[in-house]
Amino acid sequence: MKPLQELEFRLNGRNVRVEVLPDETLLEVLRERLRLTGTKSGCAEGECGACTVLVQGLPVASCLYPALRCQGQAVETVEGLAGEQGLQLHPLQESFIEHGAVQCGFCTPGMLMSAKALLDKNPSPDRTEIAQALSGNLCRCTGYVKIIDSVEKAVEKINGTGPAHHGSAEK
Amino acid sequence: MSRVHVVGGAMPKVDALDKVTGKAIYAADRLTQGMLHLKVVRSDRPHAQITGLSLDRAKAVEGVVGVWTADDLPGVRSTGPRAKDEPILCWQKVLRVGDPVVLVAAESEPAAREAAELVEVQYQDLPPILSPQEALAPDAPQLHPEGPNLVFERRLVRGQVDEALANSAHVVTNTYRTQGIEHAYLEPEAGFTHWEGDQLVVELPTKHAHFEQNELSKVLDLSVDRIRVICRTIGGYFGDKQCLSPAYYAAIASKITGRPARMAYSREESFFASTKRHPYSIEMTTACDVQGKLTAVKVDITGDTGAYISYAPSVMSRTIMHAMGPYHLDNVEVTGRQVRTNNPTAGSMRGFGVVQLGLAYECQMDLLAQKVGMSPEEFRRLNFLQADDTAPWGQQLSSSVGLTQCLDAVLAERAQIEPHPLESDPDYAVAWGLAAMHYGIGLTGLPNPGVAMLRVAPGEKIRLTVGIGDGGQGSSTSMVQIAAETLGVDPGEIQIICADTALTPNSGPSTASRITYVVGRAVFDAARSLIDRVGGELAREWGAQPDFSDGMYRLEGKELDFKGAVNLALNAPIAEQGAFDPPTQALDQATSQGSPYATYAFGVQAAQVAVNLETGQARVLRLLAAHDVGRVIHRVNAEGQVHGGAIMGLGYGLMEEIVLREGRIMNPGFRAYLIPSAMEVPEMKVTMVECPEPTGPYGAKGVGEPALLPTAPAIHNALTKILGQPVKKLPVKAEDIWRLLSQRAEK
Ligand code: FES
Ligand code: FES
Repeated sequence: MKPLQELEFRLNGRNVRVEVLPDETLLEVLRERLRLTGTKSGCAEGECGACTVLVQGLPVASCLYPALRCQGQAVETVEGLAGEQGLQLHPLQESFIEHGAVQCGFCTPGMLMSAKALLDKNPSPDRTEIAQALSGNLCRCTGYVKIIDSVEKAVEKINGTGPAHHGSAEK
Repeated sequence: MSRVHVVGGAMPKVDALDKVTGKAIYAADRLTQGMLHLKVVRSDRPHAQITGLSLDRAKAVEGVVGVWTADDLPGVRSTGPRAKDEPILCWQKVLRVGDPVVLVAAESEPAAREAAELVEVQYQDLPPILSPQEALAPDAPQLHPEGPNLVFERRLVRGQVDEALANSAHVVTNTYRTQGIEHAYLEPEAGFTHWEGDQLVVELPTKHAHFEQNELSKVLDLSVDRIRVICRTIGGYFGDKQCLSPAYYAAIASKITGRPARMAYSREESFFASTKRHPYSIEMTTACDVQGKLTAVKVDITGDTGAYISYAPSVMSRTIMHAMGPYHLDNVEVTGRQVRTNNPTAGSMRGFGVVQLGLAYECQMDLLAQKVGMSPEEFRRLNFLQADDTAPWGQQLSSSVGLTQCLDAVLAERAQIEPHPLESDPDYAVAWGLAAMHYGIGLTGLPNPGVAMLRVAPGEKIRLTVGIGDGGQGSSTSMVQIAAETLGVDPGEIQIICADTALTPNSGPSTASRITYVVGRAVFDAARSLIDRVGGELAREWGAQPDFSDGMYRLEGKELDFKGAVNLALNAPIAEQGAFDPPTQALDQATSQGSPYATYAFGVQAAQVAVNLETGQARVLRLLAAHDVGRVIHRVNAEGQVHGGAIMGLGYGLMEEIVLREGRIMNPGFRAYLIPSAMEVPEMKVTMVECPEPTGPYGAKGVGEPALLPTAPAIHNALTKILGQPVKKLPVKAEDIWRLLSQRAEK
């Protein structure tokens, strides 16, 4: 057995310290050691996006991301999206519920994190930019239409713009 | 009209909050101290005799708890959703790449992995049979001891086909081929098992918890009451996720060791272990008269069911009932057969043997329309099944046949759409294609009762229990809506419990788009019974039986809503069960005439496709879908089903294919097996057509599978227009298009 190493990082705004094996991925550490199972494993080879989390604000496939590379960094997962107490839903979460973006839900945490990364850097993306930002996140259930709608509606909500400003293909 | 109107609306999904916060529990999220980690060693040969096993090196790995073969299995050695021909661990022969041979249990994931790599299986290779043609050759070896390679054959016969063909003005004959594809649910199969006292608790995603309980009882040699199956959040199933799965291996490990166990397939293992859509080869002759009225269709279909039977008979039974499309025909002859080979096992997948046929019959419609000189839409309109028709399988149809309305809706949408910029781009050719479908709701000619329970007690939430889990389509929400609408209560008053053999009734499987229609009707019936029971209790307070309407009990000026009545009149809980078995009639063995389904969903889709004339790359620009769902229960969820189904259909039409070499899957993962991403999504417009089904809850039928069916055929028909000839196979790849483009250029 390889020796455990100490990893310290900021997880959803809190400092955490955990012992990990040198070859463990961030996904394994989150799910198996820290019991944050909101982040999903759909392929473990960087192809589906279900494991997307933010490291220093950027979306990464946590299934390929060595946990030890997070030393001292800030990691955000779906569990932190609704504020520290988990009580204040992010506009994206509200919008996903309201506009039918969620079916089986397995892609949802990764979708939310990719969408959040997009909005953090581009507060008013159009539909094409949204689709591009989500193109690494596979969803087999929804056909993506309502996911893209939901992100668009969340943008409107955050920016206080109405549907007249951003048209949706669906409505 | 009841007071609370939730049917037809779009209340938040009952499970959405948990899913957006990461709180929903999927089987792979479960974990407990001291649980075993498992690996299955699988065959890398398509067809071989097992001549020896070397397990000592694997057993010697530190942390290994067990290395088990078929001889160690606690109960039966074979299983399967229908026929029980699939070894849980093979003991004599392997029939496909991916067949399970050895099960390893260890204290940790790395130990299990290391031990699995050290297991050696010695094989003597046998010649693989890689196509139905080879398997049906007179000198072909019988692959499975249980029976011949021809595992199923069935015919549908009506009228005089040969005579009608001879007398028809126009006849087209073509051969079509469709591919195997992956369900590609985002959640790989997983299971978690642990003992609670002397009961083994099995947690997994499944489309039928009670089936698993019964099957596991045989696999584990444990009585049914010692097994509790809990369906965890289902990360997509699309027809799969029943029977042999990681949960079975975990349960076996728990039975042997008394310890908890967890297993989840990797994506690659999921590709090798899971079933595929049946690849079909279809020979179809279709004919019409001078006016364009269809006169006859003759179809011969061969399916490759791979190594094991799985759902082969059910799939083909449904195929032949749908082989002619949603058209009026008096002369029909369909022969369908399923053949065992050494390819990956094909099983149950959304669209269940119907989506393959859509390619063929819808292409034939366009080709005949062209011969007659009619537009594809007018040709279809002339031939569509109508509400008062007798279908080609001899069934008198009910009132709920909305094909013409669907066509009109799609044409109206199409007329409004702005020209796409690519239409005027000389580097592209752009065309519209059209396709229609029908789909029988429920199991083919079999009883398939749905059961639901409702329980009320003073001061408590109303508890609704159903035996089926929600695969993401929103079935739980629909069930709550139906109960709330009927009882006249706020949906928030209802708590739903799903698919737990200790708590819920057996509602049958989540299959055949039957949940809304069959189980939904059972919920409706349970609610009606409950209204009567509570009304009876109230009568004791009020002195006479009240009426119930608009969500209110009323008697001589007094009125009280349902909850008020419960609180006033009940001092103990009461529960009512609803059960609904759709009226069907078994099919005639020789001719398949009968009433196999109580009701049918219908739909029409139009796809606008652009082809890059340089590269042959095809792109769907617009997709218009109109579906007759009887009645919409949940508007957003129903649209979501159409979006998801159509995009799955787009993948089937243009992208997806299980690539085999010597029976081995060459693209077992999302890197090489591409499913549509957000970038492939066309502009979509969905119209719900509501032709109420009198026996359905509030008139509802179903939409889960129908949504998928017309998409690939519509895309294929658009490509036929662009290319001047049909491709006749799926998926249509850029190279297929490119080849036909260059042929056309040469002419
Ligand atoms: S699980 Fe990481 S990309 Fe699929
Ligand atoms: S909701 Fe199921 S994969 Fe996206």
